[in-house]
Amino acid sequence: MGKPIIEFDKVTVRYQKYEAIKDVTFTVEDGDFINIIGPNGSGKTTLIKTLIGLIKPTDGTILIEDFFANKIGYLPQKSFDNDASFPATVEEILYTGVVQSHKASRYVTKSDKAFVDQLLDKMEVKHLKKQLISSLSGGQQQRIFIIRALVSSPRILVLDEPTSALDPEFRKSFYQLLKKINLLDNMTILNVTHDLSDEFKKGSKILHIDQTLRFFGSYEEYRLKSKERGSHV
Amino acid sequence: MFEMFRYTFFVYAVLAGLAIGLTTAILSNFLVLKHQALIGDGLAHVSFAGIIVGMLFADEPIWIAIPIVIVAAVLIKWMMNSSKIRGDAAIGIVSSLSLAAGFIVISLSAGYNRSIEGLLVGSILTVDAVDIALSFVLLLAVILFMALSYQRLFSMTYDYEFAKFTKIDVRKYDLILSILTAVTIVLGVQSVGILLVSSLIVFPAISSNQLAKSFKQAVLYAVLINVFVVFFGLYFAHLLNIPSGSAIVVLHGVVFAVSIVWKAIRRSR
Repeated sequence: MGKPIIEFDKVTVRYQKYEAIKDVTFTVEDGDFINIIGPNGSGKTTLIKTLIGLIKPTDGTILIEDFFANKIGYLPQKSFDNDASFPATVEEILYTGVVQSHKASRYVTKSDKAFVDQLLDKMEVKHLKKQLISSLSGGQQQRIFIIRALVSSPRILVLDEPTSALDPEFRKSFYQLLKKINLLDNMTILNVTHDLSDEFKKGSKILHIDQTLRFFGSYEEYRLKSKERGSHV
Repeated sequence: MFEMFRYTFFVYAVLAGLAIGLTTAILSNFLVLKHQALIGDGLAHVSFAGIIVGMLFADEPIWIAIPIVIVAAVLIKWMMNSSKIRGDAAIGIVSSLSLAAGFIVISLSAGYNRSIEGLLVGSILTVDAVDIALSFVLLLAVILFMALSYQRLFSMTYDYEFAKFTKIDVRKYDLILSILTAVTIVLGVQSVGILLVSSLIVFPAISSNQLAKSFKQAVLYAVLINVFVVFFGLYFAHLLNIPSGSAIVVLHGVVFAVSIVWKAIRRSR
């Protein structure tokens, strides 16, 4: 069991009278791989946006261990849905991830560039560095956006439906990549997903939300409970 | 070929045109790619009202027009960020109200005797040394802003939410960009007119995007395109005795058509 690094305590987010999430309490431990599931409009995206500070909770508190607070990488939903004619290269996009790791700096340094090169190499996509992002396939683009999230050397990786536009083959290799990052780099991962296939969930934790927290625990436990209730996982 | 450069008014026109052309070109990609292509058009309409009000109260209407247009630009941004009004609708609301206010002021002012046409199509051949100096000061301010904030502005333009996540003060940079755009539009209205100033913002981005292989290249191409178009637009206007603003926009249309054909040829290879 890893040490607790994020604590959600009775967190509620309210938009006027509508409660997007209500009284959500859970603890994330160092090295967790958490799949966040739930139907459309259940508050999954609100939950992670609250975690990364883009949305302020109406009630409740979120505590993030000091060391980890500024070490969060984020892959927003549908990053690759940007204007198809936007003339940005892969390296230009990756440098936007550098800005957060150098708050005082306005420029991309030589060492930043070297680190980006290193990550591109590690992810086996260095040959795409000078290409326009719009010229890449969905799978390649998503790999680039993962690298952008990793450029700031995070310890926590937050992903919002990263595989929704990928075909099954890419989806499989993408999850293998995430598992590798989780296990080899001991990176804590919170992944919003609609993907219900077993192979992606084994060994992970499940956070099932539908405005309120419906379940939080291991995938195996979740499967067992679902079977008891007679519903499919 | 260039005997018109013997005339001071033509040299002034070229200098003012180049300063405004360079400024709009630098801002162009940051506005158009953020789906704010129409902001130039909207603020140009606000400029119309601002300059008319300015003419009633001062010898140099620009000093009254600039704060009015800055307030309008900030109001448009506020409507886009704080309420559920879409960007194009916010621009439409502010610009049509300003235009209406401008005409009401004209109708109520018995003493108003300035040319509306001058405001609509511009009067670049009548700019003076003060106008040129102001345009170059603005150009320097825009270059300085870009030099200090390029990386952050690019991040905001490409992925606004991610930029917010990386703790970039998006509101501050948005505000500065809006103020610089507002001042650029007011000075642009003086030179090329209300109807044409937005073309100096829209065309450089869409033409450069057809040719560029990176964002930096797109900004560079936009600058080169605007310099080329403004210079030869003025040249042909003088040569053919046609309105300079119209010549600039038609030439922009030609450059855009050429960039589309060029892109198609490059893809087919």
